[in-house]
Formats: sequence, structure tokens, C-alpha cells
Amino acid sequence: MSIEELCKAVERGDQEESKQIARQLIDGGVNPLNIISSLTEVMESIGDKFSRLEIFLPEMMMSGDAMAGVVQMMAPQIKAGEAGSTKGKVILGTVKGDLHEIGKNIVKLLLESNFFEVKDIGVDSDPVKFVKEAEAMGADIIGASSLMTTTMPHQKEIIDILKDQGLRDKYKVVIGGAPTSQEWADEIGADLYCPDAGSAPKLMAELLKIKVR
Amino acid sequence: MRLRVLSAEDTHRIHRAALRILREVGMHVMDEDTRKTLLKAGCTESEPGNILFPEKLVERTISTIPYRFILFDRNGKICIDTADEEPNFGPGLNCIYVLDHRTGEHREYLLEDVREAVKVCEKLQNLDMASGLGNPVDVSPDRQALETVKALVDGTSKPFPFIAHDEREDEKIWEYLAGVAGSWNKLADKPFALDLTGPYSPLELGVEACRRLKFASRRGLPVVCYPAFLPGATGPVTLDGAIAQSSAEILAGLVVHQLECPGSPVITGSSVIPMDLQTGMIAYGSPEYVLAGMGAADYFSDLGVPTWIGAGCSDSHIPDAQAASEAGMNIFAASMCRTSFIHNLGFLSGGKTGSLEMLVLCDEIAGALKRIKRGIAVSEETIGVDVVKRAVKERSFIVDLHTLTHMREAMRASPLFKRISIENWKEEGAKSTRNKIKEILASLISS
Repeated sequence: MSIEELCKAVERGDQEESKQIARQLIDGGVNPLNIISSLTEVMESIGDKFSRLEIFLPEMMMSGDAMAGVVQMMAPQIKAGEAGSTKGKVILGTVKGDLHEIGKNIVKLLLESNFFEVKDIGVDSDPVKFVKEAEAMGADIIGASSLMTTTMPHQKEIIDILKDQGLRDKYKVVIGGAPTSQEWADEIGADLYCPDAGSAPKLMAELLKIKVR
Repeated sequence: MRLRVLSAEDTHRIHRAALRILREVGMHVMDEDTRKTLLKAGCTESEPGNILFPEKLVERTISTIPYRFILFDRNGKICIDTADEEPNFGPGLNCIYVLDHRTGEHREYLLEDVREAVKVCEKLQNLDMASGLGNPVDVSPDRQALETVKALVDGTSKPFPFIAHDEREDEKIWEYLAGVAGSWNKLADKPFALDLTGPYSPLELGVEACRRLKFASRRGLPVVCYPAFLPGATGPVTLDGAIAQSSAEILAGLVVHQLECPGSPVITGSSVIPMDLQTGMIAYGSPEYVLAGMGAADYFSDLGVPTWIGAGCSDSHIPDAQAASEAGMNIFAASMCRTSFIHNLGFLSGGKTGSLEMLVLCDEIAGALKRIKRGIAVSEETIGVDVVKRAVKERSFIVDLHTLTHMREAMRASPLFKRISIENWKEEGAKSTRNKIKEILASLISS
């Protein structure tokens, strides 16, 4: 078994096989960081193919799923600060009154395959829950999705609660979902608007680098 | 002139599939009172909150839905009638951007844009229904729909659809409309507004949807019941599978609605919104969107449930060749299907952008389709063999009384697509269609 075969399995979106090969590689003494670095290249190329409309969203998601499985399996072997360690912790959910979750689930998958640690708090989530879960997780980012113009205001409520509790500077608030926009993000004082799932990992990584500085 | 895309055998197979989904998979019903009612009516609970629907209950409750669905204007005249042969048209609603026809920029939707859209809807002759087209963000969220409805009542006599922020605003809006009508009974007798609600896909009936369906049913007020179904994301990617699952979701909503008050008016329709799985974007301009709508119209017509269908919408961001082609294609197809009620005119960007320019263009296409759907009336007088006899010798058809009598209705005059010579067109400034649309808009708004 070789790293090339692992890359091909991830490209095919076969999570079981990817995990199996990765396990064999690690047991055979291959450095997990080499595996991570090759897989990162594969995911970048898959992302490029998706942007060039050469592959479909479900294909990218399945590769992401396979990648996330491998990353999760290797997590214990990777030390903090090394390539492949967590880029950031994210609380992710769909806001109160909104039961739509496809977009959120895609974002979750893409974040996980890009080395973010994600806690998914599900749909119809009260603004208070977002904040409580972020506190419990020690999150860096709160990500709130809304698919309806009627539920968008609950994204603002999360920010209001953070302000009320004096926690606003502790978390970056990221919003997304079909009816949301950069203007809406500006209006409610969100730190980031993600126009689509594909851009979320990159934009959120950039957001956290700003935080470190 | 009606076109089927699904045979009676096809719709029967889809119906069997929808009933199987309801019986074997069921719906997650989140409202406790509704669960109790459903269990009392013969449903069973497969696991906490998940309700399985027996076929008999579904068949019995949908048989009580009135097949004819009518909306009136505020003067009590029929405006939308699903039994009509001619199609009835209305704009979409709740866009988040407006394409500003003055500046050409995409920007946030404001209450002033709602008022302008209402004014234009009132004046566009082929629109039978009005809307604010977008969702005004300069109003507090709990009043956005109410303020939009007030602008509609102030600015037009045409009927309109609305989507409230939550059930509290929903009741406030109905209360306000009952006040406008004079009483709850008067509003129910001649309804001029339509509430949009329904299940969530996949297979969930939320608390609010249950309560809104039941509220409208109790009062006899018209409501649209359907989910937003994304093929491949919330159910099967195939159109027959998508129609089957979304119809199961709709049927569950209809059962809740009809159990509350059998015979109350309700409408459903094309809830299948294809998502481009190469980009993840909603594809309102796709042929599959209108095809799914036509399929749903066939299916529900065979069941005796009235529907509406979406058309007049595009995935382009400006009213360009793509927008005109997509709208021309989907308005034509929708006009041929088995419902006369067509909505969503004026959508760009897959429903994100509302455009008055697009609405004017769609109004023109709608006018042409109304003409096509009126068809060719055949009579001795109009066939005119006598005219042929008397005019052929002198080649005098052009001044014959028959020509003079019938010429005005023989061809529809188009306010937008003028037939003028190339010289006159140049003399008038060689205007593009989009520039002519802007001129029409300016005159509609200033008058």
C-alpha cells in the first residue's frame, strides 16, 4: 500500500478503504505528516476540479468525507502546531425556526476535511445554545446558517447575546445560507460571510490568522 | 390546450410511491397537538415524533379538498381561477436583492422597492396577482411581511401571496386583512391574499407549519402548502422520485389542513427546485424546474388537488439573453400545463434577485401566452369563405369589411416588442429591448 493508493481512494471518495490504507501506512512506519501533506494536495486538486465544474458537489463531498475519516483516525498521532493539527474549533448550527441543514452539513464536511474541529449543534438551534456550546467547547468560531429570510434575524441575536454577556471578542461569528449576504453580515456585525460552502474553509482559516495577529 | 408530461399511469405510480413513503417512512411531526389529532385519526407513531400515515386517511382527507381555487381582487372580481383556460400570472416574492433599474446595481431590498414593485404590478396588464417581490430589510424582522402586506393593500387591488416571519406575525396579517375585508367571513368568502407555508424537506412538519395550516383551515382562508425540495440533497435526484417524495410531504400537510376543517381551500404545486450539483446553486431557470412543476400539476390534477406552478424566473443575474430565454421557455411550458395559476415572475439569480425589468419582460411573455392559450376560435363568420369569394378578384382583402371588423383582435399588440422598420428603429435611437423596458418602467412608475 502506498500514499498514492491512499490518494486515489480519497479521490474516489471511498472512506472505508482510505482509512484502511492509512492505517496500514501508519503501522508500516510512514510519517502521518507526509500522509497529511499528500492528502492536502489531493483535496486542493479536488477543490480545483470542482471550481472548474469537472466534478459534481456529491463527488467532492465524498472525497471530503474520506479525507475527514483519515484525519480523524490520525488525530492522536499529530501534535498540536504540526501540519494537520486543528486549524480551529467551530460550533456550527442552523438558527432557530429553521430546519434546513444541507448547506450546514456540506460546510461541516469541508471544514473537517480541512483540519477544523467541528461541533454540529443541529437545526432549529436557539441563539443561547450557540453561545453555551461555544463556551463549553472553547470554540474559536461560531458558524450560523439560515436558509430563510424569516429566520435570518436569529443570526443577529447570537451576536447580541455575545455582546450582552461580554463575550463578543472571544469568538468570530461566521454566517451563511442562501438569503444571507455581505451586506447582512456588515449590518449585524458578523466577522465573516461565506457565500458558499466551498469558500468556507479558506475564508475561515484566513479569519483565524487575523485573530492570531 | 393542456399538455401532460406524466401519463395517468405514471401519476398513479407516483401516488403509490408517495403513499408508501407516508406509510413506511412517515413524517417527523413536531407539533404535539397535531400529533395527537393524527393519532386519533388513525395514524401510528413508529418512534417518538415520527408519524406513519395509513393510505385510507390520506385518500379520505384529500378527497375533501375543493378542486377549484379562486382568488378575488378587492372589488370582489375573480382574478385567479385554477379552472380558467387562460393562464393567470403573478410575481415571485421574498427576494433578498433588488436589481436597481436606475443604477444597474444589485443591492439590499428596501420597503421603498416593495412600494415600487406594487405600483408596477398594479399597472402591468397581464399580471393577475401582485407582490412586493422582495423582503424589505429596512423594516424590523417581525414586521417585514406585515409592512409588505400593508403596501400591497395601499397600492393595488390585485390579490397577493405573503410569507410571515412567524405564526404571530401570520395571525397579525390575517387579522389586518380581515379588517380590510370588513370581517373574517367576508375575507373567507372572497379571499384576496394567500399564505405560503408547508413541510420541510426531507419529511418534516414543523410546529409553525402545522399551526399556520390549521389556523387558515379553521378560518377558511386560502393557503399554499408545499416544501422546498432540492433533488439530490433532500430526496432523490431523479424527477419522478423528487415528485414522489415532495408529494408525500405535501400530502401530510394537506391531511393536517383538511382534518382541521374539511373542505377549506388549499393549493399546492411545484415544490421541486433543482440544485445544480456542479455548483450547488439553485436552478430556477433550468428546464427541470418547470418540468417538475408540470409533473406535479399532472399528479395533483389527477388527485383533484389544485396547484400553481413557478415560471418567469431565471438563474442569470441581469435581464439578458439567458434570462429572456429561460423565462420564455418556462412561461410557455407552464402555460401549457394542467394548472392556470403561474407564479414567480420577475426572479433573477435563482430567486435571490427581484427585478422590475425582468417583471416587465415576463409580463410581455405572459401576454403572448394568454393570446396563445385563447387559441383559434372557429366559426362561419371568422372562417370567412364569403370574404374569399368577394375579395379575391380585386385583391381587396386589405380593405374588406371582414378585415376591418376583425383586425384589432386578429393580432395582439405588443407594447414592448414593436414591429417597426430598421430605418425607424435607427431613427428612434436603435434601442435595445432592455432600454425599452427601462422606458416602460419609468413611465409606469411616474404615472
